[in-house]
Amino acid sequence: MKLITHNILMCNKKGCTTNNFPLKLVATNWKDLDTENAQQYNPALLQRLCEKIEWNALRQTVSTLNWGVNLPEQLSAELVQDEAFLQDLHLLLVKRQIVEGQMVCPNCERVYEIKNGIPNMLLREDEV
Amino acid sequence: MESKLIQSSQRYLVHFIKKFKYLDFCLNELESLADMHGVKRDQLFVQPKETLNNIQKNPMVYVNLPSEDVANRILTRSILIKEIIDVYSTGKTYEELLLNVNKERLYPILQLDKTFKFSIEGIGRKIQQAEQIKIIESFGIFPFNKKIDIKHGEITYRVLENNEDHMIYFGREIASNRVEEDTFHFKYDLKNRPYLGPTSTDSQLAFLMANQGQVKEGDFVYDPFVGTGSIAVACSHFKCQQYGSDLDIRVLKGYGVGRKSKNLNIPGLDKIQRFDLFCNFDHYNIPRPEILVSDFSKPPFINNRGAIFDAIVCDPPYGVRARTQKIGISDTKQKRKERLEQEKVQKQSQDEDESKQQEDTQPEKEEEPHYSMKEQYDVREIYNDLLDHASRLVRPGGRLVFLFHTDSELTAEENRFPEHPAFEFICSSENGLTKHRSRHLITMVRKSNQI
Repeated sequence: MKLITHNILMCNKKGCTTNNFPLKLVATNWKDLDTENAQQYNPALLQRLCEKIEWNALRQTVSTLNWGVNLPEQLSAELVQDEAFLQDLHLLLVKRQIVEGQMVCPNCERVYEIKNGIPNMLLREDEV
Repeated sequence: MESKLIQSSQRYLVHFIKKFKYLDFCLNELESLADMHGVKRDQLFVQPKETLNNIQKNPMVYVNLPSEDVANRILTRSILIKEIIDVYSTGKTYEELLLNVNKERLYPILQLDKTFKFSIEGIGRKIQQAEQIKIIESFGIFPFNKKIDIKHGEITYRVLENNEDHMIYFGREIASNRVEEDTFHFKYDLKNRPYLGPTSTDSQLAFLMANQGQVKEGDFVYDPFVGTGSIAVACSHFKCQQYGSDLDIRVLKGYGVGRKSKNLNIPGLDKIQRFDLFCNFDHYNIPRPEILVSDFSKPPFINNRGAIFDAIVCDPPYGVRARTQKIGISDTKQKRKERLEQEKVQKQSQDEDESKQQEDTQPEKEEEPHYSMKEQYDVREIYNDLLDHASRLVRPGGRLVFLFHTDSELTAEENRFPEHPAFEFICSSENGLTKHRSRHLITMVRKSNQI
């Protein structure tokens, strides 16, 4: 699971309708995809990704992951033209895979497991 | 033809591959690909589309395209276009064909310092070699250069004798898919795919779906019934960011449902360590999709900041069970079904018991999927949910592409295509399966107004 996916997931448990995004991410194991399995570095595509992303949620999440990456407060027009920044973003959003971990709802504390890179968002019958 | 809108466009002849299964898909695919390059549906066909419905009889259609480059790009990702030709002449007879040649258009091409070849084809009649040579020689009245190269000619002149509309065409081939081994999709054939599911979508159909979805680089594309990922493979070929989800984690992980290909001649098959959905993507060197385990009736995607996906392209599970009961089946079949059902339920509960035991002793063991009663929901309900969720997940202008089954023994109501006020119906293509049953590839566009 990539961070762009985390960036569009929310808790869907019955009754959990506020403060259910972003899920608190715990990454116990992660790896970077080989070049052939990931999309190639492409500034135009990253700029398009930036439009889709909820920046605050991404920044907040990255700051809790201890990956040695700090994202700026604001996503500015100059920044999305900056080569070094886009390279960071490429690594962070396109290549990096969370293999094992958890996502926890900040509101209801429902835990979603990530195993073999696949998050399990399935709810039990009593949760829907 | 003098309309201002198409002033800058040029007329080309599109020759379709006669693929019986997908005859009804030809015009729709062409329309979809042309639309991706800014050619609107009402400007594409020279004759009204309704009059072109018999591709089996006449596989050639005139279109207006802005440039040769666009024609080339359309053909490059098309499954059903055989070639696109810049026509210099037509005639009922070969005499007429020579007489009608548009010299203003042909001569500048003849003046290019390039090698050329002729390629002659009869549709509905085989033209013998001796006759072909005579035809080629008859073109000697025009100032061709002497650089004929029958194998590698840089320019290919085509003579197509169509015995269905009794018309002969002469022109220059600007792009061709005539050699199947050379097409981009050839390597995706299921025969050469390492990991297969019980219902892997035929690769050509999957590409037709991706073309209806106008999937392109950087798009966010979602398949909520991803299974073993055969539709996702086709979309990912076009470099989208693919998302897939499935209720059944076993499909994704490669045990129980999907299987390793029995074709041992697939290059690199022995190097694959783990047979699961992802190994196909690695095998083809296309980006891996993002996969979730999730119930489509409860999509876990954020829904308060606009639609995320550019397209949803999928094949919803077809509930044969629910339908066959309606049209009535014999007792033995019914009993067998019930028995299979029972076995399935028993196995399920066994599996669950096992996994519980394993969980107790081995906390690292993967959980079995949790089945809810929803699994057996009615076909109509699946489609209603699909369109309903898609209306929130697909951006305005984005596409919803899916397969829908009809059966002439069912009622009109049961066969009615799904509809939704947020979606505009674009087209459907029919693929007949049996005497009564068909599947239809349906394409819709998300309207821009908020519903």
